Amino acid sequence: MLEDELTVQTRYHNDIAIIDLIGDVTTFAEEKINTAYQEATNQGATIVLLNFRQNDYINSAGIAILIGIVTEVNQHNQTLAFSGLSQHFQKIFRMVGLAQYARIYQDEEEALRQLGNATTA
Amino acid sequence: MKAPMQTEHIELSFPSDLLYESIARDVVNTFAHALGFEAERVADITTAVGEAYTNATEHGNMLNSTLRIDIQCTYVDHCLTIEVRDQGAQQFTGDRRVFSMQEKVAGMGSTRGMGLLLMELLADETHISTDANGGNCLQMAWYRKPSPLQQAS
Repeated sequence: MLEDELTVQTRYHNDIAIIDLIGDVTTFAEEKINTAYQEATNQGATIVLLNFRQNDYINSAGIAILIGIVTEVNQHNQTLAFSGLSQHFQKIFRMVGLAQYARIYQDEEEALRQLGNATTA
Repeated sequence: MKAPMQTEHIELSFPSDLLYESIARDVVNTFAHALGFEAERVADITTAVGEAYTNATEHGNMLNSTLRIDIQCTYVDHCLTIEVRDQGAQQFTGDRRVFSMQEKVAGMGSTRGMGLLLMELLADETHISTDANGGNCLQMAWYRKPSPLQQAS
């Protein structure tokens, strides 16, 4: 039996919840990602950073999960950001219009630097 | 140095189960890379095939794992054509209401349904048809620009 590949881990940096997505983001990822987001929100995170791994794959079902997160983030007045996306998936996010709903950073370091400046400004 | 491939054909067949989707992608990814497509084009091809496989499994074969997904990849005259076929438990009708991203984010419609859009955006050509056995066939094509050396030969 082939195994589900995605691992989701959450870390915190001040008000920022960093949700590491390790593996393919497909229909199988829905429960894990939504649970991680809910827990981060319950912990009081005002900024949610989804940290992808460069070589991982995201399909339209995965994008649908992220759209759901956008909807929730808007309802909770949070900020959503993505880091670690490959150039290919940054392109796809722009193509489908998802890029306008989240800040996109090349890596976690850049994201924390920029988002950290935003929280202290 | 090995000569680039000129004409190639591979065929794959899988149970209609989403757990095999990554294997289908990996094979096509390797094949497209071996044909000499640039990295970004290989990524386009890989993602589109993943969407086609998922579409065939979820909609064409309605997640019935006793059915099959067949993939044919043909490279001729610098063009890679990929056909993804299901067994037509549900026929593609072309009637689809695709909500805009704005509508999806506002919760006004399903967040799903972007698979066909992605395939159309990533492939040079797409075409959907019904085969003689009633199965859906999704065909996509990518043109690989020949190098100046290949053009001169």
